[in-house]
Amino acid sequence: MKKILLYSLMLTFGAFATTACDDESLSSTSVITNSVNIETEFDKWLEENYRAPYNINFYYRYEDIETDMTYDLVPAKEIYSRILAKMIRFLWIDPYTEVTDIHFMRENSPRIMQVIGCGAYNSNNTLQLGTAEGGQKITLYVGNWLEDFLKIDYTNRSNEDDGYTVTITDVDMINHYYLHTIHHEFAHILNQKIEYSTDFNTISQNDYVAQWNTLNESEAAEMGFVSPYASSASGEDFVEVFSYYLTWSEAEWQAKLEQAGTSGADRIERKLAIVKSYMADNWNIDMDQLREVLARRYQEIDMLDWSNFNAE
Amino acid sequence: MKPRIFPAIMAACGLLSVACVNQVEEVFDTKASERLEQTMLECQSLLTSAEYGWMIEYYPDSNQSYGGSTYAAKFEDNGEVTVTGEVAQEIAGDVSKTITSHYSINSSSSVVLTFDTYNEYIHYWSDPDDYSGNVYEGDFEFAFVSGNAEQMIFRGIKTGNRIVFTALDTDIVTCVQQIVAIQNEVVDNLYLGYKWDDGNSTGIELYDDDNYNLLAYYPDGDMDGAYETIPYSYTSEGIGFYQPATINGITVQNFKWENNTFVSTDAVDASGTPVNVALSGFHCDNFMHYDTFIGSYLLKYGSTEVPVTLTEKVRYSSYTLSGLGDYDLTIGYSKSDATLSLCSQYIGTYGSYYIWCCPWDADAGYLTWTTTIGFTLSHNADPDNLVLTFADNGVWGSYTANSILYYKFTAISGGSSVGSYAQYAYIETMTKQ
Repeated sequence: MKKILLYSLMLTFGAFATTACDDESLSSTSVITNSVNIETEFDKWLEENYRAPYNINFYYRYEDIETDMTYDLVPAKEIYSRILAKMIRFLWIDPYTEVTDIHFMRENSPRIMQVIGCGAYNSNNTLQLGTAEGGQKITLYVGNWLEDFLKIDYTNRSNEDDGYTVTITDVDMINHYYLHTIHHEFAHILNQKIEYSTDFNTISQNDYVAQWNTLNESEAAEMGFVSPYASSASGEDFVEVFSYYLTWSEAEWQAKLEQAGTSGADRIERKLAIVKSYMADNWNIDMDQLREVLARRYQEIDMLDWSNFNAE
Repeated sequence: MKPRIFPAIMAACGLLSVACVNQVEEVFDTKASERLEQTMLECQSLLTSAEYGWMIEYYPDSNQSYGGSTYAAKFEDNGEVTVTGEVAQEIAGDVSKTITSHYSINSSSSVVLTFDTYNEYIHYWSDPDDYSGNVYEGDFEFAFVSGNAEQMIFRGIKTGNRIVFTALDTDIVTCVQQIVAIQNEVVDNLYLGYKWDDGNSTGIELYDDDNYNLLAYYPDGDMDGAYETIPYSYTSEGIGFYQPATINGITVQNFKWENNTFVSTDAVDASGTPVNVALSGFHCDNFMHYDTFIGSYLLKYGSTEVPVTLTEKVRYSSYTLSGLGDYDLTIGYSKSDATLSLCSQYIGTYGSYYIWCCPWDADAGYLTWTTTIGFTLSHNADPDNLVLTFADNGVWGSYTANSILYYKFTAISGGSSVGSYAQYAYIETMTKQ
């Protein structure tokens, strides 16, 4: 008993001794300062439209520490980041809020969305369009390619100072490179929070391949994959079905089923059924309702006030 | 065993209890973060305080293998930077077209200036090419090394290259226009390189690269021997080497462009005494300027003479020859030996056929559509009575190009040959009119 008491005393003393001399008080000024980089109108808009309501930090200015060091990357052109910020809000955040409530995106959206100007080129000649890291961050690449998919008309015919209008000329490419990528990465985040039924994995369990980029679209479809990339792993397969179902029109979806043939289409349909029930059971989201909302919003996209960052 | 553990624990406690009694003297008066903040503010303040902005001698690639590329940039307090530069010529065709984007100053292990939104000019050297990785491996993030109101030194984050910012006394467009004016004068001279003249030197030659701002220095004067590469950049006065070079015992970095010669501004000999070095351009023997060849000629083949013209196609590189039959031919110009060249080439369609201009050995009865085979056109060194003489360029080997056939093919890349379209047998000379 004595010994135990002695040890306890000594331990207490030891612990006390090690901290006793730490008598510095907290400085009244923060050591984290950033006084040289000025907040712009766009920054304020992002604060009001992304950060404050959804706690999403939308990074459009290149930050070395946030980017993948294994790639050679460049920043996105600011006007394209602005257009993407408006588009993503309208075609990704708002539709979910419309079919659920504001809390859904607050709780489940990534904390960081980052836009990079160029592609992240892999050594196997593939291009990475996006990444979702730990449910916390979505990185969108090829922001500067927007140039080819829309037309910007400057009010004063030379620069954006007096406003501009945007006409989308290739919505398929915009879907492919950006919106599909976001839905894809977002589905990964949802999967990271709640796993989907393992029944999904059994549908194509023997057909997943590492060399997905050697398959073409129709080969993949006939095997029951909505895209070649879906054949890379079941987790990718799930989110590809999810994102293509949302971003393709009904006609495009039917065309994919047709391309897939009887057995391919049957697999895709079974996968879609699991995706739908996963979303309904776990997230209380009706995929078909969400899809209708998205379809309506795609019709409305041209009415957005692209250059106004004061209102809203 | 227990009694041994006990003293050990006692000793450990003793150590723990005295471990914090230390008297580490503060090396700095202020916290690391405050010092970084201070440096960030200093960097920001220097960048924005230059009334006209800065000239930036930029080098992509960690070995500076593409030479330097000079920019001029004006930094504003609101985080905007307006840029033009040598690359504006290629990208916009006009260096007065500036591009504005954002910059930021952040600290990681050092204070870093980042051009953090895309700018077609600044990011030209860092934008990765489709599927082939970054071609030029350039930086757009620069660690702040030191600076004052006249000059700031940065270090490229990826390349480690030293990047010098020099405060301007004219606006950024004027600065780059001055650079382009010097560059144009240099290019117009069609020099092969420069002879190094320090008063004591003989035969030291620096060859200029046609594509990038690089000089090749052959210390032994032997073009087949070892050489050193000197990357340089254009400045508003002349050129500056990436780092001081020592040649013939003299160390030098900067030159002014005066009377078609680069004159040193900072050359010193081994003892540090200022000396003068001039880099005077030189040409190949028998040099004749590109422009001299432009004009009307009579082209003689066999006993026939036809009027033809040579006009500029790609300046300093090629001409268009018109008048020989129904098709235009492309003639090459080489400043390295002052000859012209005519090689096998695709020249246009005829109905569903594709016509090639083919060198032809009219004696042997053979033709070829290998694009390296053809003629050299050498001049008579008399610009007032210029005569160009055709000769086989030596590539064909067993046959001799002495004539031209325009020949029909089923595909643009050759395919199957169909037959002759036109014949110009025994092509001899072009005489300027």
